[in-house]
Amino acid sequence: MTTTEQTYYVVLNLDYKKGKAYYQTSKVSVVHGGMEEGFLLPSEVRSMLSKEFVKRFIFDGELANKILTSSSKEAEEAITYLYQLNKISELDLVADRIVESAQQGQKATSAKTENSLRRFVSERNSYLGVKTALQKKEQTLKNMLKDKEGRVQEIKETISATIRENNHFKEELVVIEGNIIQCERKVVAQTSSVLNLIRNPHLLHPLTTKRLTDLASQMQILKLPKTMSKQFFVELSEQDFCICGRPLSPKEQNHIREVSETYLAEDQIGILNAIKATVLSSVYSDELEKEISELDTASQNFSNAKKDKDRIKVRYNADESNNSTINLDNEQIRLEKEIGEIKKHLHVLTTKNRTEWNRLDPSENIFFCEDKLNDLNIKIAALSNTLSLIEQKKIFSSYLKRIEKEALLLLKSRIIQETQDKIKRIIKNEEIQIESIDGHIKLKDKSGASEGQTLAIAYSFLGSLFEGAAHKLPFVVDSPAGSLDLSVRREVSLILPCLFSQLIIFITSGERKAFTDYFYTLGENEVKFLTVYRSPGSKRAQCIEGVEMFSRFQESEEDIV
Amino acid sequence: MTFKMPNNARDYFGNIKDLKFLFDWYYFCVMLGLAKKKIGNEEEMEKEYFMDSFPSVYLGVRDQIIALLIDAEMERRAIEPNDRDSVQKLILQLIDTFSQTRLNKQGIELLNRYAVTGMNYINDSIPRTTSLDLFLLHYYKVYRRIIEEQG
Repeated sequence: MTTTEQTYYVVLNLDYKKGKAYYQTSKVSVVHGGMEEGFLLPSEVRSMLSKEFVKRFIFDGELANKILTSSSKEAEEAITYLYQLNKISELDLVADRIVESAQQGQKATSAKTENSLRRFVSERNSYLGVKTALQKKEQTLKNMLKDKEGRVQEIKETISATIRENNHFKEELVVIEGNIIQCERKVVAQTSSVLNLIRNPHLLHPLTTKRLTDLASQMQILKLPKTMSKQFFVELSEQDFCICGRPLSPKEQNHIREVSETYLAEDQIGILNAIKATVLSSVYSDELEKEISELDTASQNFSNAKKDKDRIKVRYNADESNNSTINLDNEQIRLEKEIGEIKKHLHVLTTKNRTEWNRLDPSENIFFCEDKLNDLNIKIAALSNTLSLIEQKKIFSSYLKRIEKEALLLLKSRIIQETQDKIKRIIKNEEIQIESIDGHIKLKDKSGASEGQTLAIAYSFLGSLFEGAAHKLPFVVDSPAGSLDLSVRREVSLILPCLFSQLIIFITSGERKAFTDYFYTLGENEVKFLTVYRSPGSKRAQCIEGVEMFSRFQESEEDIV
Repeated sequence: MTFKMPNNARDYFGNIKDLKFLFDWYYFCVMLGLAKKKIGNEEEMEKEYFMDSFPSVYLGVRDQIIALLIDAEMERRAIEPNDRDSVQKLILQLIDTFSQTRLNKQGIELLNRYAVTGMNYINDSIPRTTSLDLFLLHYYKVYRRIIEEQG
């Protein structure tokens, strides 16, 4: 077989001993040339060599009848297969397989696909809403976190500042308290000193001392106590004579005794002298006054020191600061607890850890939700593609059917016209017109045709078919003249070479009459005559080339095979 | 019968920290009374004596107190300082040779009544305080004012 690019030799080996048949293919090529096992024609050629296609150009007589038989679709099928319109239908099957494959990928039928698509789209819309809500929640939580962390920072700074102030306050307080203690000690010491001195009446005031000294002076002036004691007069009153020598009568003695009562006794004089001596020795000094002055100063210092302490406390507002620090501490603890909770929520909301997703719902985590959305988007896209594919396939199928139909109509029209022309040239004694090709060739105003007419119509039809075919194929015909009248045989023999560019005819010796005459005139340059026979007793068939053998074969009795 | 505390003394002096010696209270009262040279009512003193003698701390100024008592009584009784007999008589009325206080019953009683006067003046003039130093400062000023007023 020769194609436009290569010549192939196909050998069919029939091994009767082993009961096997196998092909070998040989081709000429620099690379991969030579004999190889198998039917190795190019796929383009191999696809044409289907049974349905081959039987259109490997012609037998039955086919001719079928072309005109009303119950047959041979004419139309011949057009279909020779022009490979069937390949158009096969494309539809290919498209079907593509759609099926896509649907198998989705494990869904068309109806299921639509339902699933609606469900997935609804689910996706729902998750889009969830995602928006989660993102809003994330933003809200982040804002809350920022606010609370900012507040914690503020609190820390405030507490730190308060502690610094408190430290400064404490330092000042230590100094002041030290001063207070010193002042207090001074006050205590001075108080003790004053108390000791104040117990001395003569130190209280110079006038007090003066009162004392004046009293003592007056006693001096008055000679108190009197130097004569009571005891002197009591003893004198008991004497008969006075110390001056005069005698003392009882009257005088009684008087002396009475007067003695106005005199102090000796012990009283002693006491009075002691008092006088003590008072006279009482001398005022400003010792107490100075100590009082110092106590006053110390007391004021003490008081001032305490006031200083109060002022510092007021200045630093120590109590309030402490309270406020405690409040801030409490607020910080509360805020840090809240921050912890927010971070937990945020973690749940934003974790990308798929292990953690196992414990979550997509409605709780943004990325889990996104993952779900992606999944749905992929499913929707796949389903959308499948649906789209189905729709496209439907359109494609309709186009294919239309193309096939249109192509068939056009081909039929052309082939009818060309066949009609050929019939006119072959059958001259009767006007035969083709009305239509509708499965079979329908003749106009005729229900049937003779055997010769049938063959002539068939050859004309096939010739027309092959004229327009894409591939120039050999037409192989067995017993083309079979039962034809001799006159028809001649017409057929004339027309057949014109119908096909390459014609292979198998005839028996009995069919040569009125059929082969025309071929003899063409000469051996145009026609190759091969005579194939097997001699009696011989195991091998023989093939003799040449018109002489062909024209004479079995002319005499001894040539009969 | 010896030293008796004025009625308000315990209430007043009891608040002052570091002044727990009872005779100190009595001394502060009696000195103001003697400065004023005015005796108080007998009813304004406690019925029971709190001490029957001068404590050792005050023993050294016992005679000064007695002298101030004599001086105050001279003025209160309008005894002329030149009236030797009246003065001696007064002394004889107040002094008891055998008493530790060197005062007889009348002398002690008078001294107690001067203490009543002093307490009343303290109560009226010196704000109550718990601080001994403040009390002493106030007392000193008050005493000086009185003594200067009396001349």
